[in-house]
Amino acid sequence: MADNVKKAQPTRCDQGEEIIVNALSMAPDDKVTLRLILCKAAFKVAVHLDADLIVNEDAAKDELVIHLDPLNPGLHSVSWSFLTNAASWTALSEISVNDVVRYRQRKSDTSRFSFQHLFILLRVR
Amino acid sequence: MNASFPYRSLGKLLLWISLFSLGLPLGAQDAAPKKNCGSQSDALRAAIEKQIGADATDDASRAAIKADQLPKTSPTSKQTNAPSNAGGAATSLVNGADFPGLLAFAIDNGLLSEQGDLVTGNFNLFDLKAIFRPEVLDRQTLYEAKSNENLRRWGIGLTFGGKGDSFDRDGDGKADPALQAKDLGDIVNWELRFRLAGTRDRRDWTNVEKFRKDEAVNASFRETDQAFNAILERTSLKEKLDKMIDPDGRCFDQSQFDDFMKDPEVLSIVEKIRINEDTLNSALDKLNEEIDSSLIVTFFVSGLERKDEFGPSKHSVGFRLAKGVVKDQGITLNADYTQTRSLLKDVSDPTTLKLGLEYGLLLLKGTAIGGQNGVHVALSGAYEKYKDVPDAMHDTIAKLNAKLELHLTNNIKIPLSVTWANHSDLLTDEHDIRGHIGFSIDLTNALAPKKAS
Repeated sequence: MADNVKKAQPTRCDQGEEIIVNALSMAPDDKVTLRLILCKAAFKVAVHLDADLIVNEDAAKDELVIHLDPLNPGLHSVSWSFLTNAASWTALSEISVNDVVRYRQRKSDTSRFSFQHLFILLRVR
Repeated sequence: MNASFPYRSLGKLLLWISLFSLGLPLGAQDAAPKKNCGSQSDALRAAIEKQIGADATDDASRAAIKADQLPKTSPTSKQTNAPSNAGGAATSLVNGADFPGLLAFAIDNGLLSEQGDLVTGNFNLFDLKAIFRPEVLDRQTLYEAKSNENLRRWGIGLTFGGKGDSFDRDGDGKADPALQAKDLGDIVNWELRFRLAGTRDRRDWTNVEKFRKDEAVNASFRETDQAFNAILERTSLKEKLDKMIDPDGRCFDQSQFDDFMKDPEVLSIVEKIRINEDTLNSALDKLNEEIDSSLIVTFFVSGLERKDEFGPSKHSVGFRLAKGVVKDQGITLNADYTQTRSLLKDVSDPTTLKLGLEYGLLLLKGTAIGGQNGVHVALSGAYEKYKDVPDAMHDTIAKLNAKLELHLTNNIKIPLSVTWANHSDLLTDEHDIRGHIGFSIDLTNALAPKKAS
C-alpha cells in the first residue's frame, strides 16, 4: 500500500531530469538564481559566491532560493555545501538563468557522504 | 595482367602507413582527449577519496576508509518486535520502549510484514496520514509540526496468526498440543502505544534543534565547507578548472583534471579537507549518539484475542522506559499488568503483575563475526506476581535471562536464550530445562521461506 503511494507521489526532490553542466555562460545583467530543494530532513547549508560566504543556515528546511547579485564580466564560481544527520534525505540543486533552469543535480542518502559540496563556474561575458 | 600489381599496392600501403606515422609520437592513436561529461564536483570528490585512500599506507587505515565508504545508516529507533505476548517464541523478558517513528521505514519494509507464520504490522497514526498527504514526509516543516509530532506519538502494533497455548481442551486431564492458527482471525494480538516522553527521531523538532545548535557540528561544518571552497577561492586554480571545460560548459578533459589533482596546492587543500571532514564526522556521530540514546517513555494497552481452542484471551496495560547509556548500550524498564480471561465458568480471571529490567548491548559490530548488525546481547531480570493462576505453584516468580541474537543477514536473526528462574515450573518459554535453567534457540525466523523483496 505504502509502496504504491511512494511511486505515485514522487517528492519535490524527485522531479525533473538532471542537467549536469560544469560552466554556464551568461551576460552581466542576467538574473541568476540558485534553488536548493531539501527533502526529508533539515540541512546545514553554506553558499559561496567566489570567496564570499553569502548564505549560512544552521537548519534549513524545505527550500532555499538565493538570487545572485549582478556579476562583473569574468570568471566566477558559485559553490554550496550541505549536511544533514538524518538517515534518509534528498536534495535537488538547480541554477536558473533568467528563470530558465540550466543546471539540476540531485544528491541523496545513496551517497556515502553526509557532507556534500557542489560547485559550478559562471562565465560572464 | 601486370604481375607486379600486388607488390605495387602493398608498397603504396606501407608508404601511406609510414607517412602517417612520421609526424605522430608513439601511442598517438590514443591521444584523443578523454572527456568526462559528469559533474566536476563529483570528480573532485572521487579524486579526493582516491587521494586519501592512497595516503593510507597501512591495512587498518585502508579498512577504515573502506568501512567509511559504506552509505551512512542510522541506528534507528525502530523496533519490529511484536507485542510480548505474541504467539511466537519469546526469548526476552522485557519489551522495547519505542515503536517505528518514521513512515520511511514502513515504506521500505511495508506496513505489514510476514515473520514465519505471523503477519505483523507496526505503524503509527502519522504513517496513516502520510498515505493521504505524502508531503508531510517530504517537507521538514510539516514533518516537525506539533500536530504531526503528536500523531507519531500514537503507535499501533498488530499481529495475526501464530500458535495457541497447550492446555487441556477435551477435559481428559492431559494437556493437548497447541494449535496453529488457520485463519488470521484465530489469534489477533494488538497493542496501542502512546509515547509519553522523549524522541529518537532525528527529524522531530527537539532533535532538529539539537542539530541546529550543536557548536561542534556547526564549527566543523563551516571549516569543511571553507576547506572545499579553498580550491575555488584561488583564481589560478579556478582558471585551470575552467580551461579544461568545453566551451559549451558540459564536459571536461579528464586527463587535465587528473593533472590538476596532482598540483601541490590542490594536494595541500585535499589534506585540509580530510582533516576537517574527519572532525565533522566525529562531531556528527557524537550528536547522533546523544539523540539515539534519549530517554523514551511509552504507555501501552494491549490485547491477545483468541478463539477458545487456542487458549484464553489476555489484556494488558503498562509502560516501558528506554534509555541509552553509552554507544550501543541501553536500559529498558517494563511494568505490565495482565488479566487473562478464564475459560472456566465461576473461576476468577488470573492476573499477573510483571516488572522487567533489561540491559542491552551491541557487540562485535563491523567484525567478521558480528557483521554490519553486530551481535545483540541482552541481560534481563523480571519479577512476576500471580493471582488466581491455576497452573502456577507459586504466587511470585523471579527470572534472570541472557539472550544473544546473531544476525545471519539483515532480515534473518537467531536468538539464543538462557533463563534462570527461582521456580522451574514457569520456564515455559524455553525449549530445554535443566534444574532452574532453561535454554532456547529460535530458528523460526531463520528457517522461514525468504520473503520476496
